[in-house]
Amino acid sequence: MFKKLKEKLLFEKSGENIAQRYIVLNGFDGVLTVLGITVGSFSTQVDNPAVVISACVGTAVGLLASGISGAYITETSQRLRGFKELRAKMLTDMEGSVQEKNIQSESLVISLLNGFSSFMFAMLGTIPFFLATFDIIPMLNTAYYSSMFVSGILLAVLGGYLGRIARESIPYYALKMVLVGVGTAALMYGLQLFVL
Amino acid sequence: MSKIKKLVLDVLKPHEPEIIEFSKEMCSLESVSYLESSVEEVDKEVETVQIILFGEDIEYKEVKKKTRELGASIHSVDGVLAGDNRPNREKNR
Repeated sequence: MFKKLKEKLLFEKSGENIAQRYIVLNGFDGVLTVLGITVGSFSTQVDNPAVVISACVGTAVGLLASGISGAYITETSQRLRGFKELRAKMLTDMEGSVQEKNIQSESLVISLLNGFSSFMFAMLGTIPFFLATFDIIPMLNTAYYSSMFVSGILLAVLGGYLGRIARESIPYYALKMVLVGVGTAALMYGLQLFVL
Repeated sequence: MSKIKKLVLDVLKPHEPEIIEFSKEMCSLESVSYLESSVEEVDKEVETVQIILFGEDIEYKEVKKKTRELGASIHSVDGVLAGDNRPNREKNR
């Protein structure tokens, strides 16, 4: 059953790839959110890693919860609507059919992917601050630079992956994503300077 | 009592599962040895397929249940081949 579900999610008839879309989209969300926190904390020179970690983990958990619940409700309602339309065409109740069972199982898998992709990517950007907690690297400013570097790498990986999907230049797509990250960081830094 | 050896069904099914997957699932039934299926008509969300099932003793109830599980419905039974395994039945009478 899992194999079939995996096949369906990865190779939909329409050519759309739900899993890919969610992983990239939410991974992007996770990376940029943590990058925003990192740049914000960097501009105010927060020297306690626990403060940054708690902000990042709190945000990551928020992304996880909103990702799972939001996607589950959205996917279920959309699939239910599609199922009802199909049922009207079939002129049967379709009770107990694979299509009916798939509404819940597919929505669950998609929502978990949705939530965990943003959570995972957000947590990866937080790793340098954990290292600073254990005094493996100094908080000022190595942990900040490391976190921004990790975020840049993650954005490049996501961009490269999109480039591969589009069968376009991987470095070009990677650079585009990194530039979005740089833009976000610059905007965040500028806002901090303006506000403070 | 005679046994059903062949069944010709007119089935209305959604596009998913596709006909290959659908046929494999139908063929997984114990009473079905093999089958032949072909798409007769394609609509926006549904399609009509003709399924010819072959077996030694096809259980129609089982076929109907499986069809339902796959989200399809049998429109009509268009042909049946029934018989038993006694080739010399006439002689023995």
